[in-house]
Amino acid sequence: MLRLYFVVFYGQERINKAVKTHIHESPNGMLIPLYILAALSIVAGIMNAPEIFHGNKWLENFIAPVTVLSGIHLDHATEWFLMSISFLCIVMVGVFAYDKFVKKGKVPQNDEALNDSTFSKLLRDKFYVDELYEMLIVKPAYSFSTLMSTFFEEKIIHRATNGAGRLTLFLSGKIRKTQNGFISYYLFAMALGVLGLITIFILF
Amino acid sequence: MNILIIILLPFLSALLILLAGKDYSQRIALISAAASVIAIGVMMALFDKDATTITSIDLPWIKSMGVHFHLGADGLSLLMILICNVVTLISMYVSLGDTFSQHRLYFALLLLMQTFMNGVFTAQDLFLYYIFWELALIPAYFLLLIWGKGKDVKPATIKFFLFTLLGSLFMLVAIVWLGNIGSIADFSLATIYGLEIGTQEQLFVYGAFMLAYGIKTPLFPFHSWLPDTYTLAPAPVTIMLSGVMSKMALYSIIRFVLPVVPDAVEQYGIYVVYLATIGVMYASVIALTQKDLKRMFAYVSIAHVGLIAAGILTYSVLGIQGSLIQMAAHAINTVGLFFIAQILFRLKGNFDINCFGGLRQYMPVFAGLYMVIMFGSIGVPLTNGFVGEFIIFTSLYRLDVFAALIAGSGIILGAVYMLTSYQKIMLGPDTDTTLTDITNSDKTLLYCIACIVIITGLYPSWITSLCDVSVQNIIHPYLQK
Amino acid sequence: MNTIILLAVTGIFSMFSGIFRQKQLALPAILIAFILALGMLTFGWIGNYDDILNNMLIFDNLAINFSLVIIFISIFIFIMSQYYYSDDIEHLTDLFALFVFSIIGGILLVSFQNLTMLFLGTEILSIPLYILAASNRRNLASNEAGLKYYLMGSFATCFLLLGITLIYGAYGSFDLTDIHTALATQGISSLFLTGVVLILCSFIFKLSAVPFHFWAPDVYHGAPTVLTAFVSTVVKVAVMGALLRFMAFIGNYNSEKWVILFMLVSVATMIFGTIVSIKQKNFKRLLAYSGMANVGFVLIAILTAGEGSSGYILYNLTAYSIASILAFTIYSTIKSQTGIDTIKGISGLVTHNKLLATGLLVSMLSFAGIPPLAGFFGKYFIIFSAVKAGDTWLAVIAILTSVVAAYNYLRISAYVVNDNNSIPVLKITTRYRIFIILCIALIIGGGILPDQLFGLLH
Repeated sequence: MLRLYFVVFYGQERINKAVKTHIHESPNGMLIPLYILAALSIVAGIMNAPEIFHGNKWLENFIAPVTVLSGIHLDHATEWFLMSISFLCIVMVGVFAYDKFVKKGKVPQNDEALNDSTFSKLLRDKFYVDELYEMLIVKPAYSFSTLMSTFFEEKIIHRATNGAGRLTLFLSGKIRKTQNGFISYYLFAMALGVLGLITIFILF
Repeated sequence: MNILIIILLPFLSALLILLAGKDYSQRIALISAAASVIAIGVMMALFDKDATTITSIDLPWIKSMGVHFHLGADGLSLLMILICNVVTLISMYVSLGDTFSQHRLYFALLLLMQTFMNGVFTAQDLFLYYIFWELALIPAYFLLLIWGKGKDVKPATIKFFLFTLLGSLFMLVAIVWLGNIGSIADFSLATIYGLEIGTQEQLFVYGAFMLAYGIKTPLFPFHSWLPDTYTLAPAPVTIMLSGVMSKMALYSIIRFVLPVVPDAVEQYGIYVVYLATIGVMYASVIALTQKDLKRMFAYVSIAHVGLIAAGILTYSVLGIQGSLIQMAAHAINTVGLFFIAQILFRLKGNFDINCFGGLRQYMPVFAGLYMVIMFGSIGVPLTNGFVGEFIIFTSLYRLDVFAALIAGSGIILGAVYMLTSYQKIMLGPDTDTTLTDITNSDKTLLYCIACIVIITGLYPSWITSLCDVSVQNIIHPYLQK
Repeated sequence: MNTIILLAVTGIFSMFSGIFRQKQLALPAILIAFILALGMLTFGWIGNYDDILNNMLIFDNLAINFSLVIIFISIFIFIMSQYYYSDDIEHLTDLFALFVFSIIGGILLVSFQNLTMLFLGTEILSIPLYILAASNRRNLASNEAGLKYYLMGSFATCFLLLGITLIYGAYGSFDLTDIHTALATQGISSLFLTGVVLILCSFIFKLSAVPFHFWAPDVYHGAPTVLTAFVSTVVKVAVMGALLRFMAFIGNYNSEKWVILFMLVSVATMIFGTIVSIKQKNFKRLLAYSGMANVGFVLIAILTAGEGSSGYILYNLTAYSIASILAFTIYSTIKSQTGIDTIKGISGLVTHNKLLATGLLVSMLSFAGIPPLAGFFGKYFIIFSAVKAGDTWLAVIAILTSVVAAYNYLRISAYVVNDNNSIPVLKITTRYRIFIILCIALIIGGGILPDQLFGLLH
């Protein structure tokens, strides 16, 4: 972050003339949200200032239900320790970056021009995390998704629900055939029915 | 403030629209919806947070069956009717953007739906509740049938109706049983809460109720009706269905399942939690590759209501409070998303994600508002989706780490597909240069929704404090006796 | 008894008005007589005539309530018939007379106290129906329906007579009270049990329940629509009343056996009726099957008979009858003016015929059991009696079949609200309009104020 900041705003100019004439302060449309964001980030920090600064935990109260349960309380020493460590780190990196990009006026080269140690390259390519991520997570996730939506959702869930309806309709078509319109058949069925009912009655 | 007003106002407006000689349907519908929201605002302002229920009306209705026309609202009901009426207002407003054939009938049906849903949220009598519950389905059915788009509307609508009817009828058997345990038939909630039910019977009642609510919410294996229904319905109806109707079931779980059959929930709640969390993951996975924007949002909705249901069935104050916040958030976010889908549909005439691209350059305001609402849906901190989700996760984590893990990965996937679709639609190469930003009326509505997203995100505790007494009553019913 | 006399006189008057070319007098006279009969029953001017009747008929609460419902529904049938039969039809007054005689048979049936009266009631109820079914003489289907109904009906009557004979053989009496005392002193004989099963068979036949249902779809389909409406409403109420009375008489003996028999019949009827109905294309046939399914439903209330079950049955049948008369009326209007008799044909009814479409939708939703229409409470009471008796599984089967049946009604309502305009504006009179509105109001009112309607039946 600090590298970005120093290079863009304080580093050597490396803009050509034509573009330079266009540089001006951002329009209000961009500035106002920026101001608000800047202000908010400070406010947000203060709102929930650590206990040693007698912070009153406004933020915590906002989302009171969340913090009620977390119940983590750090003692002051730990708070001091954590704060100083992170602050020190920031200061150190800041000094380094200022030294490198502002004082020495070093300009980062284009990526193609770089031909340095493997470690830098590894860093520059973000440890190949993107590629790994693409290969290990994104692609499988998408193909899994396609599988689920075409197979499981369509073939099992929808088919099970629609199938219940279809089965009933199918049965309907079959059972309907018993109503064939022949009166002799009907009378025969009736006689069978009487016999059946009497049998059931005697059996049970 | 009399609760009857939010039942009568939309009902009478609907009658007025149908019977009036001239056609004032749009005006009447909008005014009525706005008036209902104001009425609820007043009610909430006057509401005493420590009161358990404000009963406004209790008339004997069917004496021989022990049924009372008994309406009332506590904090929980107030929250739900607030959601219901705000969503209805939005739905009316969205309706103005499109033309509908037979629009008198259309607006009347929307108002009737609002009436019955308000009835569901305020009924203090189980039988009355069931009647409202079933009735709310009828306007939805006709709205879908008459104004739904696409050739599959009829089978999809009938499937939707039959599916939910199946669940409801099982619930009816349970309700009949519950109401007739005592020597005199009595369906009033106070009596039902006081019943001593054996564990075995509790399990049956629990099963019947959860079948009805599982279908209506919908939970994982019962969601088959939802994608088609949401996709084919006209936008305002989708808004009503996703914004309110799914909340009807979630509200009912809190109101009727937890306090009535606590032992069964204690024992078997975890299975529904698993089902719900699997549903979160499942719906998110499916949403990942949906080409149709509306269908994708439908699956997003399944994932979110699954999470809410899981939160409720943790059977803890924390989980329920989180779910309530999330219900309010989901109602607004999902409504916003479906509205956005409708705006996009008006641009290109279909919902296919791939035919959009680079819209941000021509529609910066729309892009910004879309982003805010999307962030709300993903649950980015400081938006309304965050707090509820976080609390639900915490409660889930306490109940069962595994369930929390599944649900969590589902929600992370949610962020992936939401952002991907946003990227495809708003960024990337533009396809059409003739576009201009959305109309002022659309803009106004989106601004309002975005404001609600952020305000609720910054200050969600109004929900928890509003519902605190009700939730305590539900979790610790014995303390109150 | 006074009611029966009044109705008999009206029937004969109707016949004579035809002979003396005063056709137009018949219908008003019948309607007035019916309203008078309703008044007589409500205010208790029944007339027992115990000395003459020799305890063959009894006019207790059950009989009065069922008679009330029979006559009440008959009024609707007669109003409907006005729109079905065109004025120039020959022998119209004879047909009316036959309807009236059949209704008398129904009243005898619900008040029988002697097995001979059971037989007489059944025959007086049925024989006019055989004639009426074939009354559309130039229509082949109507003739077929009449013949089938007659042949199968007489077959069923044989069983009834055989059953009565067996019981007489066992105890030497037709009188229910005598048989009752004989049962208490002599114990149950197997002749008696077989006789009872045979009598039940004839009941099941008249109710068109499985396994004696075969006649129903063909007869319903072929017969004139008014008769179809009559058979599926009034006749069912009458037979159900008689069955309830009969069960009250035998119920104490071997009760678990009757329960099993009725369970089988009721479950089979519900399942058969609903499953077969969903593939039907013809509107009238579909209503026949749905009526069959409803009988299965009502049988649940009979087998779980407890206090008030006659009230539940009556409520269900009344709600069902009014909704189906409404549907039949609208169907016959569409049929007579456009010739359409399929479900698909009514597609787009709502476009030009708002009232008819509303009527059809209300009756369909009432059939489907949507609250707060009357049909919902009809179903509710049945489910209630099953749950109350502890037979929750019966309630579950009833639910499952009613979900399947709901598919039919949704299918029809989806066609009704379709937006095409294949059906032109149908000509309807103001009186017809009022009749439709009255039916709709009754269906909705019966659901909103079930207690008040229910109170009338006690």
